[in-house]
Amino acid sequence: MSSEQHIKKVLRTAEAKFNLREGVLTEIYNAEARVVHKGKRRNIRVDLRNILITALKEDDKK
Amino acid sequence: MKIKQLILQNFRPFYGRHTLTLTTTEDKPLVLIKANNDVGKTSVFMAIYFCLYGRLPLAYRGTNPREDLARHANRTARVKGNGRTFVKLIFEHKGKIYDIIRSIDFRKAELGELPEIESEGLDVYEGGEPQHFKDIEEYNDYIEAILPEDASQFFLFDGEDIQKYTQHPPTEDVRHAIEMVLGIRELLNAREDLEVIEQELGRDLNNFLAKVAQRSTEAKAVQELGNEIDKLREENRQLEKKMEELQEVIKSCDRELMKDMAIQEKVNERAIKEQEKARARDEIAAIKEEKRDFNRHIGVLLVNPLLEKLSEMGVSQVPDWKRTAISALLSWESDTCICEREITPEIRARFEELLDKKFEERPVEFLGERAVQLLLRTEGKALERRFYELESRKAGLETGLAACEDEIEKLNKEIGEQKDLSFDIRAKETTRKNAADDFETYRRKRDENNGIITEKNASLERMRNKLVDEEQMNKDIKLKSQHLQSCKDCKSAINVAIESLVDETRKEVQQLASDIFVNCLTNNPKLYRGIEITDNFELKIKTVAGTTLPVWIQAPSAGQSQIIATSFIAALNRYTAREAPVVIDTPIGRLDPVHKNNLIKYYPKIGPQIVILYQPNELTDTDIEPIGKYVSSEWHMTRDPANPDATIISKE
Repeated sequence: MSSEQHIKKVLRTAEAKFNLREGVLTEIYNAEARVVHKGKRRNIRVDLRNILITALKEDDKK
Repeated sequence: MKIKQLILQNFRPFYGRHTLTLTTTEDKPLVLIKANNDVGKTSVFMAIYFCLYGRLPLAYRGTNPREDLARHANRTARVKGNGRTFVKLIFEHKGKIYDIIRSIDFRKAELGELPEIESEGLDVYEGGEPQHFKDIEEYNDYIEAILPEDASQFFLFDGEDIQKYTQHPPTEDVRHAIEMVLGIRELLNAREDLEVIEQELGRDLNNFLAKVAQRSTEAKAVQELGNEIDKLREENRQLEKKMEELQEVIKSCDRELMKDMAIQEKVNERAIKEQEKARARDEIAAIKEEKRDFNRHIGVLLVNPLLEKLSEMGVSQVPDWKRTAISALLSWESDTCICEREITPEIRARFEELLDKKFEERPVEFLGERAVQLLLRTEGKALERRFYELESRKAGLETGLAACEDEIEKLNKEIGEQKDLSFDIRAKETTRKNAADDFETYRRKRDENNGIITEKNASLERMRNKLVDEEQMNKDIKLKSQHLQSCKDCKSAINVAIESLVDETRKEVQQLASDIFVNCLTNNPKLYRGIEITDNFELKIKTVAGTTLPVWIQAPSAGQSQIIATSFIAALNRYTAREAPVVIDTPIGRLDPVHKNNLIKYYPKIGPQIVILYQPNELTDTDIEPIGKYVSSEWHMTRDPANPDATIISKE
């Protein structure tokens, strides 16, 4: 299994453990991957906030 | 990422244009580039790095980036005149062909001097389409997404330089680079970002809650203000009720006063009439009195003609009835005179005395004399006028009296026995005044309250407007709370993922590195059990004796360190989340023949594309023979016989 596949598997497992919407951690990961080289200059918190809004499954929004 | 071609023009020792085709296939991942020292191996290495990142690898960087650029200009070219240095890297990445072209326009320079840089150029094509970047930062983002510069140290490296991964615990930069290569850095950054976001969301939520609390206070203030306004309005209603009652009192007073005053007017009128009546009576009485005096005179006057006639005629001629009348008159035993005046005993006595004295003698004469005397004293016509005047006055007064009595009777019929109402009227006027005063007091209070109500209503309106819709606020809080919860959950999930990934990745890389080291690279597999990689990516050597020590403490030989580091890098490359070529400069270094052979044999397994820049002493044809079947192309760089300051490239 490649590192990329392994990361996806680990993220899926974590999503399931915390009852998160499938793929949300991958979205966060990909957002970070786009700017990973930027160090402190990266500024994707707005993107992350938007991802987080849809992070919880509908059933959990009570 | 797989390099297809590298084109060099006037770059360092490469005078003119040179092309290196580095294409590899899956079963032939190797490209070999052979050159003696100081011919251009490192320059090829530098060219790839420069083309990607616009600068030299850290180990080759000078203090002045501008001078580094100037050094790229080929010495022969810059002495000849103004020119251009040009590096073009063509590579494939995720199914697309990329062309990156860096150029440096330089001015002519004297031999031994660096040229002046006129301009720099960067052109990028993706799938044949030119790419436009607003600034260098945007380009850096672009290339970093393909192969981060930090991670490149595990793909483009000098074989002798990699010992740094074994000689000391890894620095933070190296650790970050490893994490980046393994795809862990993204999760660590995500955790860091989520922590910040969690704090921000917590602050946002706190602010919302504070606003709600403030709103609660403000809402309470609004409620209190509303209650105050209601209280004032209720007070005004009570005041208006009292004012209505007072208005009724005033109206009632007005009605009664009007009625009483009308009656009083008649009472007064009646009193006046009574007074007039009394005066008329008095005057009539006075006239009667006066008339009695008059009668006394007029009686004589009336008798006088009779007496004169009698004197003329003699008594004998006087008819009996007349004489009888006179005798009766004179001898009339009455207390009242014919003039109706009372004849008191004193008057009678005196009168009889006079009559007795004179009557016996000559009574008729006597009377006649008396009459003459009276007539002399009072003119007859005056008496007559007086008589009629008195009669007239008397008649007038009696008429007035009768009118008064009629009026009085009429008033009596209207107001009955009504007495004077002045007291009642004054009392009612006082009541009315008090009511009017109270009314005015209440009216002022009501108006004052209305003013306060208006002001308070304006404040209330302002305060209400300041309050955001409660429902929306609650919705916002709920959303923010959910947002915060999702952030916490994601952070926890990422923590779990990091722990899992670091642990599993470390174990995977550790296993791979151990396998590569023990089974492929080391010259003494019986001594070592493998490589251990700590959580901080520190490399430790596990020996068969059971010791596990950091490589830099174990202090193996330089060759052994290079082999350990190579094992680690190879493992990283095998397991990396980044697909990139491996370009190794000086691959063998100080390795002994056993290590060298092991390493050479292992090269084809390091990655999908391996470019080896070596000098003939490092790898001989014999050394290369075992891996010959994995070689896509071999290149030989030599000095140009015509120009010892230029390198030429030829394919073998």
